[in-house]
Amino acid sequence: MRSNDPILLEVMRSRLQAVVDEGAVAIERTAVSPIVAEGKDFSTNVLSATGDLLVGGGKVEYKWPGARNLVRATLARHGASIAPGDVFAANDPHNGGGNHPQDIEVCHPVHVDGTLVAWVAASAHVIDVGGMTFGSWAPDATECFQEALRFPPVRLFRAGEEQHDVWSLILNNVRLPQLVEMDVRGLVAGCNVAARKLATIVEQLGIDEFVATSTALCDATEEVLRDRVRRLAPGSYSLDGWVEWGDERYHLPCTLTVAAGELCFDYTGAPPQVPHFINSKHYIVEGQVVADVRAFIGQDLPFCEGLWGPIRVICPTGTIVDSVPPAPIGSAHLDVAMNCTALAVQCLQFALAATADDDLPRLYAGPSGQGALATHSWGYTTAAGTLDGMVVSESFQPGSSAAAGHDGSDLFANVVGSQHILDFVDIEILEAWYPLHVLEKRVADGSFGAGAQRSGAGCCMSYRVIEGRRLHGAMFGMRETLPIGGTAGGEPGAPTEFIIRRGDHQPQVLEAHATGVELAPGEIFEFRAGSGGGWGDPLDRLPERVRRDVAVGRLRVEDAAAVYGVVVDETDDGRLMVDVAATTVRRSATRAARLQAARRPDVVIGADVVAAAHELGQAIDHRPLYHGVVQCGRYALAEASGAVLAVAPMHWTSGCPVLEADRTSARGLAWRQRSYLDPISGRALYVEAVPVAAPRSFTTAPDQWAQA
Amino acid sequence: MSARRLIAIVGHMRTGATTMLLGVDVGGTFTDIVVAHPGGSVRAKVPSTPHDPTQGVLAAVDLVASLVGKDRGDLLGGLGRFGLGTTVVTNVLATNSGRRLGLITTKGFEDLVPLARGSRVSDRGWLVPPPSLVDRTRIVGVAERVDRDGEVITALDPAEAVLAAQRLVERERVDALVVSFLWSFRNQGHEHAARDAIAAAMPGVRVTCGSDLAPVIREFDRTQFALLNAYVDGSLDWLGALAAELRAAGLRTPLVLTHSGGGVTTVDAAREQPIGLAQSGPAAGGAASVGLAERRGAHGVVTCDLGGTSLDVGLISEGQLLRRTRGAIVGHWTSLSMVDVDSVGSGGGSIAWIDPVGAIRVGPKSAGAVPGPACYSRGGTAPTVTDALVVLGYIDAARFLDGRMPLNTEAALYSCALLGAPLGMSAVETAWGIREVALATMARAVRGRIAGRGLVAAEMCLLAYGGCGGLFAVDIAYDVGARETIVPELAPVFSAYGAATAPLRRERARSVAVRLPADAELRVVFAALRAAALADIIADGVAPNDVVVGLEADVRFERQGAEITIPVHEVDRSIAVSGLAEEFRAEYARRFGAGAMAMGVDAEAMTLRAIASERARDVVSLRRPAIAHGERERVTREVHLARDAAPVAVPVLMRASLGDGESFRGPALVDAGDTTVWVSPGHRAHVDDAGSLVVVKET
Repeated sequence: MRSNDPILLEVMRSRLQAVVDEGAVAIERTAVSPIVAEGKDFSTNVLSATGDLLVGGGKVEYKWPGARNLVRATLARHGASIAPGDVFAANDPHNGGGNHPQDIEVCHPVHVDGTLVAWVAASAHVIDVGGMTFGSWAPDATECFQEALRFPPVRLFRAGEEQHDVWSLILNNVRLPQLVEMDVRGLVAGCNVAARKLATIVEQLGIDEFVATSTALCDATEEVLRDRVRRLAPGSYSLDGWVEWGDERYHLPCTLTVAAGELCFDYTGAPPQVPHFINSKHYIVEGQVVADVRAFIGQDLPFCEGLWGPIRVICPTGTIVDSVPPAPIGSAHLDVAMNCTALAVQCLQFALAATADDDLPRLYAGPSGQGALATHSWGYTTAAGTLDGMVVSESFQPGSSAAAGHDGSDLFANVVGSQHILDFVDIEILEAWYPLHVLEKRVADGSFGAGAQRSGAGCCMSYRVIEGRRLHGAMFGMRETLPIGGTAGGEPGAPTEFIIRRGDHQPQVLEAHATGVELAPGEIFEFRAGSGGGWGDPLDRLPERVRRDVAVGRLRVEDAAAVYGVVVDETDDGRLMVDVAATTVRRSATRAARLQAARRPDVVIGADVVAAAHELGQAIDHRPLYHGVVQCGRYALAEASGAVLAVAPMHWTSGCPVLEADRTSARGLAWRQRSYLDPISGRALYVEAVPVAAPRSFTTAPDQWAQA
Repeated sequence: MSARRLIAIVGHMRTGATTMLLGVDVGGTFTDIVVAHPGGSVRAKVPSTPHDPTQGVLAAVDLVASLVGKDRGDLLGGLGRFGLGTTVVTNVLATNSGRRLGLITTKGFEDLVPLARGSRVSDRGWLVPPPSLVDRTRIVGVAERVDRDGEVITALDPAEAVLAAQRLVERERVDALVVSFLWSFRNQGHEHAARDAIAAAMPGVRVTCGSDLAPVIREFDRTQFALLNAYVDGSLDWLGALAAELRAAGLRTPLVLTHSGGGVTTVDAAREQPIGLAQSGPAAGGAASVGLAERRGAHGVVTCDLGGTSLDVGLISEGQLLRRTRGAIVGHWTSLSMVDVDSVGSGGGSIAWIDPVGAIRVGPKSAGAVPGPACYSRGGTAPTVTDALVVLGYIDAARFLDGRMPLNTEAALYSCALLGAPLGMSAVETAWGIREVALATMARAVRGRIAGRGLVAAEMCLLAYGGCGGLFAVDIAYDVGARETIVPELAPVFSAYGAATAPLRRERARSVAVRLPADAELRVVFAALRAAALADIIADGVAPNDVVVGLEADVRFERQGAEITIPVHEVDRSIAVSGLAEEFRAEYARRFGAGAMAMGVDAEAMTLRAIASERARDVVSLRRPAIAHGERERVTREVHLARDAAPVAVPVLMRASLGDGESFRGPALVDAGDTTVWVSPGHRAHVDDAGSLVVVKET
């Protein structure tokens, strides 16, 4: 029987999925820490004997690639000594771990007739793994040695026998050892269940058939993804990002090269590793990029090793994108890595926007809002005198970017995907567990992420510490100044904010990365998670949608007029109505005013060029270059107005008037919002959020343009 | 089913006895009816009448009455039970045709309902929130707050609630209001004050409170319950007219309804809390399964209801139908005690397709009844599971539904050939693949359910019903390693049979959320719940001596996500709560292994529940004599059992010709006119004394 048999392929995929689902059920039902049990921050995977990912289970896809790293590191470290009944665990990203030391990764070899045929792996974010701060997120750490207990792949069980020494060593070094122990035992239970089922499947199929079919599944996936990559407009697409740390900004460039059936994301130019916990690792950046590429052009493909085939990620060693010890790495999957994958998504979107092939499945959207989390944690002493603590799960609820035809999602990072990720913890459960009294939890209001489709809103929450308790916290938010950018003329999203109101109720704005934050009884803590950006010029948004946002309290009447050009009136009986005529007037006045205020284009397009372009435009077909921008021979035109923007190979924005607005964050840090306008209509074609002195942050250069 | 055969079955009934039970299941398309009796049973199917469900029910009653040679009055007068299950409530949710709701909630938390606890569903690659029962523009917050201990932190000004209500009714034109505040299950004062003030100011506007309907912790679940109930309010009002009509026609026993918890309830109770009937169909099937399992002495059973669009999998453990206390109803998450049934989109109408990596997939898209499978010749062209079964020979195309609806084999062949062509596979090979893939999907669902409850497959029986259940049951049981397969005589109308036989059941629950031990508090709450549930069921007309009250507690380790339901016993009229934590630990270890448990973590009791139910009825015997062996037809059907071998001539037995205790070996097909059972090679089947076909693997 052929190995890529259409029937066997699906029967096996379905059975492997059942294996990880059963493992996930076991973990969900046995783990106790809120992050795992209520937040579902765990995963299960099946891998080949050599550590190729075959299938993933659990809610958090970003966790799945960690299992590859673990199994490969376990094989390298323990090789021939790996025996049936062994269970390994690791948590050190520098040595076989997952996304950060708080993720404990467990793997279990599967033997049939004495042969190693596969691995099952499971991972969960545990409440604490020791180090300087509760929760092991230590913004003050300058080396990984201060952050947490880190261990490479070690045996929790040897040939089925529990290794008490290893367990004691780990549990002796963590806060809340009972919670951590139960969570890790949940992972072991999940692996045991999955390994047992998998062994049965392999026994039924025979080892050779299992290997042949699972290889065929990965190969077929790779082939399909490669075919899709070949359909993308070849060329070079790049974007600059900045990772924030207090008042510092680390420049992070990303260049996507689409060529020869491969997507190559290159982060060369990233700065050397820093003494802050934001440093990442190559496999983490790569795993997130792979997951995101799949979300936009391959959601119908199995999440398996084949996805890695056509995707290459270059992260120079010793830099923030692939650090080495002693670099601290407590946030290895967040600040830098989230920024990397957001840049990768935006570069991929540049390529999609320049691709004419209608047969390519694709979703047009901005990057995940996960880059704007408002993560923070608290530790405290309970009434009984014991230590307790929490990572506030609401802080993982940013707004998503907007998408073509879709507003962004509120309190939810992604607008594309196949499943939701984190369940909310009910207010009553939160108050029953922790010494907090919640004053409000709602969608953040404001005009951030404006666009024809606007971004989702992040969580806006405030809570008071109850009598008798005192909290000690750490903040590790992202995007406190520079928000995530918009797409196709949509505006940047919301920044993340942390505020304390003490006795006088005056707001005190905190740095997004802060430690030693103290909260006394009765004091109020307030945060707003940030958001992704908007899609399309806000002046093109349906007025009725703007009215609705005003009606539900997320947008002020003044902002409706100022940002969206929509005039909303209140009638005598309290209803809100759009003044259609006034809106039309206001919108065209706003467009005219933009052109008035804009800096003149870098390049002046002469009348002869315009005439030549228009003549050519009549004769030949247009090809897409960017949303709202088409290529016609050597000329780039604004699609709606016909304005000539550039002559190849200069960048298509060269003929755009540039409107700049300087903004400041809640802490008073400056950034610049820069819009590239259609010179005739004044419509925004691209809006970027950059440091004040930074030049244009993006380049979209498909070969068809660069070589025109 | 043909009239000729129906009458043949009726011939064995001893009519006139008072233990005759009638069950009706009002579905979206068909209304099923069954009359069960110690001497046998009669069943029929009539089209449903969604505009006025009463008409369909009465037509069904008249049809079965005529089949037993009686008129409506005679039949009704002789009934010991008239039970009814209905999907009407579910249909209101599925078609978004409920009331226009307004919600008044605690200020600062107005966004929580539309945010749906962060749940998102995938729509062609986009993640979107599930539909909200109430639009954000119709949610108003009022200043008020109660803390975790039930203490008032911010007092409610009832006038503010009235103002909010007026705004919602006048400006937003809502026709039902829900008031739901934080911590109201601890202190109902604010909700009741708001409700009373609104009722006084705006008589005629219906207002319901979260804490009255579901006094459980978790504001979202509680609020959703009140919203769901208000949304479907009125959808069961026709039951009043039906009950009156039946009474007038001679029915001497109250009309009862199957509800989501797996028992039956009265018309008044159902109209008060219509959302309780949302899982009526699955619950009725589950209740019927419990009766049958008890009769066979099967303690662990996995139930498989395989219909046109989905496979619904439920569980019976220790003779109890497993329920859950939280879950989604037509995509709306809430707390509702319901039969714990999981659905996968794999049924007879599920469509086969080829995914991008070149693998055959089946479902979740279904051809439904219209356009239906290709072989229905109703316009469907995509190959479905039913088409595959026709191509392979499992289904007798000519005699489908007793020959009333012959199937188009050519169309089935063509649809499979078309799908397989790009993969280089013949129609038969493609059909074989469709069946294999569907089987793998079904087995995965069944395995998952058994594992999710920590049960052992080898100790379980698989009980299959629904139109397609018999064709896959034996193979699913083999795949998951179940002990035996049971296909009941009444498999095609099993939900109606459940409506006829399920006991009356009333339930009361309240959240306590206390760390164990807390014996004094638990006893007080249990006593109150017990008294309330008992009063409910006695008010329903059950004699106190016929009532059994069960108590249970949902317990978990502190901060764990899921609870385990632990039964609480009464010893010498005292409620035995002192061992609760210990029993929980024992059950936990049993399900997940002692290795999963760390010591020193406290257990907490979340929700307490009292369930009052009627003592189990005598199980109705479905025994009937067989047609003499000599009359049996000796037929075979060519079935493609192997992927690339020639078809095998499989003996076909007529269900009606099989007598009690009769036994035969697979391969065999058992045809019953409206359903077929497939007995795989290597299995032995026999008919048990309840008329069920029981299949076990030969050793």
